[in-house]
Amino acid sequence: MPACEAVQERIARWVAGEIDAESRRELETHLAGCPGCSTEAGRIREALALLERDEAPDPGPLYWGSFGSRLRARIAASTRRRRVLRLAAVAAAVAVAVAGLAVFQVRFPSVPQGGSGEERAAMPAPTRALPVGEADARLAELLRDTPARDAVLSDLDAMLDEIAPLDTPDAADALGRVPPDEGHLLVEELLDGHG
Amino acid sequence: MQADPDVRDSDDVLVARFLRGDEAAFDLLVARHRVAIYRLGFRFLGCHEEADDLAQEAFMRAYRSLRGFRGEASFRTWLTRIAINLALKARRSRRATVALEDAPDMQSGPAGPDAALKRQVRQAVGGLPPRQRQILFLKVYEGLKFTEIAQIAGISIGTAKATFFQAVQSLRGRLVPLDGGQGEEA
Repeated sequence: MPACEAVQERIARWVAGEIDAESRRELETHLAGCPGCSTEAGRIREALALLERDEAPDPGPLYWGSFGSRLRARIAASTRRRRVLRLAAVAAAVAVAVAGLAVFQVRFPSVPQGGSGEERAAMPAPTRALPVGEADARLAELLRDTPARDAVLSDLDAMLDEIAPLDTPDAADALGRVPPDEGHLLVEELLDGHG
Repeated sequence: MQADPDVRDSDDVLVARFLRGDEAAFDLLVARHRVAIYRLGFRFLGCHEEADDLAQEAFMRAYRSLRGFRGEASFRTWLTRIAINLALKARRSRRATVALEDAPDMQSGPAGPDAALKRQVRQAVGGLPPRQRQILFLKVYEGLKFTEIAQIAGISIGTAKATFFQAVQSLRGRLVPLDGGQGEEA
């Protein structure tokens, strides 16, 4: 027959049903003949049973009656909000791109076509046409000190993430798995975090 | 033409119907799980308003994400994980966790014959280390299986079990002074 200490260490497995048949028989035989261990086991089982019965209050039929309709309204409102935000993001991106193009054209005006020979002669010497690669580099240089497009888009993404997160549940993907960084947070909270 | 979803349909069937465009199937999923999710929210956050908001938000996120659900976890586990993530986020954001023993429903309510013992047990649970308390919470309050707890917490089944056993052992140690130990202190 196992000693009391060994039995009490196994009580947790026993109450969780995580014990093999032979150990269970041994343990229950011991409990039947040992008042101390039996009291100990009874205390644990009673405590867990109390927790199981410790239900949160029921908010009542009026609350549940409106739950579905409020949820539908919430989904509809969220859908509208996300649509508006995404349109705004696209519009902002287009505006920034147009502004960038305008800056480029002001800085590197194209050679006018047509006109008489005198008109062409009266015009300043044409700017040398740049190869595409060089033009890109110049444009990037010009935009460096202006509100950068990437930064603006990044800000918009951050805003969207904050206000209307992507279509994945918070920190969980469609399979209920969490990405490594968020998963770390979850596990930290569950296992080591602030209870 | 597809028949209406039935309350007897399993979650898997209802999810499949929803993915085929049957919105009524989602309503049945909501009706089936709303009480459990609300209670989870209440136990984590300790007040009706926050529990309600959590339940609504959890189902809204489930609605948005269900089209990518491939059923490798059960719908209930998946939904519970969404709700727990929201609850943890809410607690982080308000920077003040509601300890089990401080939750409103745990201080008021009818004084039944075992009210004093309940309070003592809650205090004992509230005094457990966070990791043990939270696994105990998922196992006992939510009635989840170890496989589900492991999936939700992103840990192995063995770790989930070991943590639960530690929690029960710790609880055992904390319960002794609550009743049997009273004489020792007197």
